[in-house]
Amino acid sequence: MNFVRALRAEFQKLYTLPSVWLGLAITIAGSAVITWISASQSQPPTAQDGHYPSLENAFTGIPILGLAGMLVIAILAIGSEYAVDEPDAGGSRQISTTLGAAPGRTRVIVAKAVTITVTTLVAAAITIPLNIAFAQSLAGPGAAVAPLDVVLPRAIGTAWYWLCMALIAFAVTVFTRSSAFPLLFFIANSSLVSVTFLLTRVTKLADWLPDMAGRNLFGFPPRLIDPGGLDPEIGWIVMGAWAAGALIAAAITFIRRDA
Amino acid sequence: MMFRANPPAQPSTPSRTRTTPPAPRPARGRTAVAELTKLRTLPGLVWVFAATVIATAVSAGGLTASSDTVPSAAASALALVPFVQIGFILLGVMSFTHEYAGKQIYASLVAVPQRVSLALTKVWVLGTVALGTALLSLGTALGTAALVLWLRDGSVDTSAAAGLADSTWSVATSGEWWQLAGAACYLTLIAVLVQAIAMICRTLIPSLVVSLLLLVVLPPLVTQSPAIAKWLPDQAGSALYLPDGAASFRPLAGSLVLLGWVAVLGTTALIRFAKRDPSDG
Repeated sequence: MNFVRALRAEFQKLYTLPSVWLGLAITIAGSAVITWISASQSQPPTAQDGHYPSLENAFTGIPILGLAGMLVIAILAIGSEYAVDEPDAGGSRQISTTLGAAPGRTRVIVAKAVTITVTTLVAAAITIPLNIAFAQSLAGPGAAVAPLDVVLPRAIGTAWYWLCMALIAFAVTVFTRSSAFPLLFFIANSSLVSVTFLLTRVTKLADWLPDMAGRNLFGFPPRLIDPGGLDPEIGWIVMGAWAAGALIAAAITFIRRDA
Repeated sequence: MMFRANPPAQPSTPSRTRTTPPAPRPARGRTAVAELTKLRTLPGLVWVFAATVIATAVSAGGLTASSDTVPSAAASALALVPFVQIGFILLGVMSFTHEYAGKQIYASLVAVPQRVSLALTKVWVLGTVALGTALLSLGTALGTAALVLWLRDGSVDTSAAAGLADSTWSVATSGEWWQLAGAACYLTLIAVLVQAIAMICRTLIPSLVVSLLLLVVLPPLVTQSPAIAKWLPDQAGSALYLPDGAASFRPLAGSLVLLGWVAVLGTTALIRFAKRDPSDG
């Protein structure tokens, strides 16, 4: 089985899972709803200290809801393989079929990672520009438009954050072989109930944890967030390193472990 | 011939006209015992119960120890409620979705064909388990926090008028006892609300995702719009355990809003459970 066919199989398996569409809906539609709610609050039409109200409206929902949707997809991409099927269908796990059809395990896990990467980047390419445009249209014709050199780093940083967290969640699910715990941990941790954020209060080392390292990638104005964290330039690299490390560890486990 | 050749015909084939007798209804107590047994023997659920209680107690101790300004043990326990609710979300989801993880739902419906009665039994059995878990979690949290304060400050003031005594801390002020009771009610209602969501979604992953979004992810995102945010179940319910004036609603109104969520989602869930085939996705 060559790589292209393995890739096609992974895409097919992913997009026939109902919850993957739930994840996409959360990312794309959920973000738009939050943008609309934020825009319904009265705001000054002009920019304040280099920050643009309509852009902030767009970025209220995107980072967290978009991430939640991507986490669902990444975790299910591998978690669904290990879910035990109904007794009527043999009570088996899909992973047996997958590895029977594609015994090259490296190929399988690389194909899965590529599937998640493509899905995340496409979802980001749809969600982020759409929400920025939506927020701008809601703000009306008089509202200040953020220039491209302000928008672009935030948009790309957000997409990078989603991608790295999705791949890390995927890697963790390879270890746990079930979806429930990674889903609960990663989604809850990306909100206000954040264990990693609490850890940064205890030790500065926690700033280097993957989700905290990237928290300035969203480019929120300082008055809206708690100060601290790594600079975005370093955050990029640290998150990428975590994702790469997690993927390699997951791949080694996946290749060597009895399924 | 003196005898009749044939006996009079039977009115008709019995199987066609006879109405099926109603399925025997198991005594309510037995259904409840069955549901409790299912929960008790679900390994994941026992772990969630234990982890919730232990994590709450340890966190309360840690929180109290890390701050010099904790006024009472209850303040630490109450500050943990938004975190502790994660355990109750899991309890609510798992209490129902395990039926659909295999074919257990068919066995359950054969044993108790009265679907509404089965669903309501599930609700109150979970409610009882959740209330017990809440009381135990908050109780151990209170105990750990009080222990930390006692080890540090040495004296305990059990009177309600903590500020007037020479001791600087108390287990809980009289207002805080009410907030603790409110917190237990809040956590129980959250578990029941999540069970309704699970009854609608039926399987583990969608139920978990929808519940987490509604109760954990969404609230901080809409805080800029208080007019919308205050109607969310966790924000409205927070009136039950936050001090007076800290929540958007007064405790009674807040709990009514939360109960409204439970009623609306619960009714939807009951209708779905009673009317739809268990194999519908």
